[in-house]
Amino acid sequence: MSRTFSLQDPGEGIHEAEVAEVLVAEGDSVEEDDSVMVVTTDKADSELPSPFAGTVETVHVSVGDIVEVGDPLVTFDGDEDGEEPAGRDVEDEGESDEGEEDQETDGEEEEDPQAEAGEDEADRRSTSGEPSAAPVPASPSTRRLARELDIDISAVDGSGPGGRVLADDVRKAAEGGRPDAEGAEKKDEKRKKKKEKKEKRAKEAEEPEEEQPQEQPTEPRRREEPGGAQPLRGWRRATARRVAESWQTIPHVTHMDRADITGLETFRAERAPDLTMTAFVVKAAIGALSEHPRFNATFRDDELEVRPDCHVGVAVDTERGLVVPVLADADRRSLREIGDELEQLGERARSGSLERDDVSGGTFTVTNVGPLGGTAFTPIIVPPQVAILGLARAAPTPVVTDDGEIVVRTMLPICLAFDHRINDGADAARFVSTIVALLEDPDELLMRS
Amino acid sequence: MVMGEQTIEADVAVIGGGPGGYSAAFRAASLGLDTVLVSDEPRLGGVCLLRGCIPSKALLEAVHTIADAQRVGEWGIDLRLDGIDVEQLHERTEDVVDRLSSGLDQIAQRRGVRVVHGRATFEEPGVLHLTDSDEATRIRFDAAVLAAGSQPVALPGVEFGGQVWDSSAALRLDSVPDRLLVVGGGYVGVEMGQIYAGLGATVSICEMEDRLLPLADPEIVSPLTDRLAEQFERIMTTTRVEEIERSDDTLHVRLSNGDGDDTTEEFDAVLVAIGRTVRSEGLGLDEIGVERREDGSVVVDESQRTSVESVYAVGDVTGGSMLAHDAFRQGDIAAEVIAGRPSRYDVRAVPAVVFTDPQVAWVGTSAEEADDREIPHRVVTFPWRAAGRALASGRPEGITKLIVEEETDRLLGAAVVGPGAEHIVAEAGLAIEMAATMRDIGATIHTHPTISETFEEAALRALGHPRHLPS
Repeated sequence: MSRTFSLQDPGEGIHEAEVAEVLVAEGDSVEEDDSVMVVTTDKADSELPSPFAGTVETVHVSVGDIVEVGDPLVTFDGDEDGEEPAGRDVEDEGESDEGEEDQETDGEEEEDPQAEAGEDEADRRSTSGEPSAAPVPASPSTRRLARELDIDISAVDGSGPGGRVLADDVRKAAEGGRPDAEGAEKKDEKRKKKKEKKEKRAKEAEEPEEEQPQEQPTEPRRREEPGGAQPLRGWRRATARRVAESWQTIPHVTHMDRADITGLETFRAERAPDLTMTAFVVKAAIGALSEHPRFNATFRDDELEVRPDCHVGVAVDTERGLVVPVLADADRRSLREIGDELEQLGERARSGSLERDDVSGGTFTVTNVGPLGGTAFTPIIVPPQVAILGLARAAPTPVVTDDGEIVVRTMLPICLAFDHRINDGADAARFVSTIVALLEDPDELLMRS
Repeated sequence: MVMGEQTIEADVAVIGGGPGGYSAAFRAASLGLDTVLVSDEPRLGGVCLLRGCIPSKALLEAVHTIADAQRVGEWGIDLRLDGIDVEQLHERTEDVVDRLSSGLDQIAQRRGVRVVHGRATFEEPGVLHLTDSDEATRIRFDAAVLAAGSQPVALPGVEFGGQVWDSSAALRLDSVPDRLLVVGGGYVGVEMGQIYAGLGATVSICEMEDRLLPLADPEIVSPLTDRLAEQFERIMTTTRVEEIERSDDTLHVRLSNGDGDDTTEEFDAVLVAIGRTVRSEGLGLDEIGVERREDGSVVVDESQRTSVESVYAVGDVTGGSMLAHDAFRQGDIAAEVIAGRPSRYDVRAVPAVVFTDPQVAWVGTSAEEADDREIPHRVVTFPWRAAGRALASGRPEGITKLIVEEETDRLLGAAVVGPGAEHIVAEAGLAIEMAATMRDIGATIHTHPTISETFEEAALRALGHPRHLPS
């Protein structure tokens, strides 16, 4: 009996993953809990342990494939008896049995060359060996759309009556959202979606999908030309989706200010040259968050949770793109600890060895593009957080003093993007002022626990 | 004129001018591909148009009209038949064929499909060699679509010719024999039998299996068999032809029914309609590595591609249903795939219609298939005696039968007997492709009074509340 190991949602609403490494090959003998592959989900690489012991019959994926939850990864032949752990996706014998059936049918055809109408056409075709499951309830045009978007329609959950797969379901699957995986959707949310769908359908009906012969290729082409459009993959794909979601759902406002860090720079040079400016700013932010707790919060499903604990994400630029490891329990750490921890997280981010836990659970984020330049920017909030603090490049700047004199000071541009649903401009101004005050008074900053 | 080596270059070369070939060529041209069609026939249309579906429909229309005229006799209308001019009937049939075939020529011309007459053989995966052609000796192509079709199977030891006809010979209407034996109770046999019976021949039919149209649902074949029993001299099931001896104008046919009691009977003509076989020999397929089954049919995948990447195959030559409309679709798919479109043969319902009177038609999964494949299902019938239109037309014998998936209430298949059954399976085919449920069909208003209404009524019956039946 063959058993198939399929991609599971680790419980964090993961819908898909990219295969980063395949650790087994067909014919390999695998013990239960041996790692069979590494997948990239969201921001972290995870090794997937095999739920079965057995010989690898088929590896269904290869490096670079995007797999969805429920997609088969590896099929084991079941000679070596392994217990089937509960909760894993274990396919029954259907698959292999159907395969045999197909072969039998083929054999019959050969014996009976007069096989005629009425025979199941599908059986006559040499397909790619896919198990002939029950046909997916979907119209021919929807099935065609799925092929155009390179979506396996049998893996799409149908939202129509009786599980009918609609064109919209296929489009959603192509965009990466699986309609049913969103968890407990509110009823009116569903209704709203239905209405949108209706409108969209009505619109489509008005705009029939006409073929435009003048745009047809003039030569047969069926392979991708190098340099053609490519789907986003891995982390870039995850980043793309998350920032788009943030930008589309969160009304961002960016409040900008400057902190005079001339004193802080002197202090840093004398007392702690190995600590980065980021570490000091994280420390200052933690101090300000304790005074303005509505910026240390998460907002989900119309519910605001002001967090008693404080975990600060710090953006790191790596070869693979932006990564945001999280400094856990940042409010309980000394400046020195913050500095050390940031250094370690940064190194691990750059070497790609962050674990899933290292990149999740943040309540506030700091991003510093200063080392690379810039005078100001508008950072994007990491949902479900409600604010992100951006730092641009600190530079010697002419400043007018209270006495009306012009002096040169080292000024650090600070940009706080906040969710206007949660905080107002005045809240942000007060919060940033606290940060500025702390940065301008290193002694006070160090006093904060 | 001495021809040198002349080579045509094309994106797509189509071999065969029948439904599969011309649909592939027309679709390829409409997608902007430079397309050449090679036909070994002087006219486009293939067996279907030139010697099959179309001429037989023209003749069936004639004999159905005769039958209608006889039937209204019972209603007080006297339309006595005053002779049949077979020659004129033949001319009229030819006229229909000519018009359709020249219509195809015009479409080919307008779409820029170059039609080359000759016989094509694959020289290598990108080159066809042409013989018997004035136009070229070679075609170089990026993709080829093989649509070579099929031909009638002869009885072992009995060659076609003289008074032993294949379906094409029977359609030529050279003569109406006094005594005709139709060998084979498939759709060609029953249609041609009804044509010749209508034209005045004494028709007998023999079939190896235990009933006529063995591939169709027995329940819907039964009203046709009743009708044929009135029109034919004899219907011999479980009977095979052992030998045919020709002497002068008479054919001596030895028939056996399996009990060892052979009888020899005399006929003036014998139509052999025991099936068709693919035409895949002499095309160089083995030489370039195109995989074929034992019966010669070409193996294709869902994109109609053969085992050779640049060669596609559509229609009868791939085996399967051997129906023109299936070939149309396959031709479109091949052309679209060649043009880089994501088309696939993911068809769920291929309708089949036997154009007898009454018509017998089916589509999708039969009840028998559903049983074999252990799909939980139920079968619902709506007898036409409860349909106003059928009674008004004097056709109460019809049946509309639906095969419904138990779990989902979706339509799996339909089988229909009665005049106009062709229209019901068309609608049922759409319903199957769209994954329609009994509620979808039952909630779709059908015109009253029509035969199409029986489709809705059957769905309502599946839902437990037929309108024009007690339950």
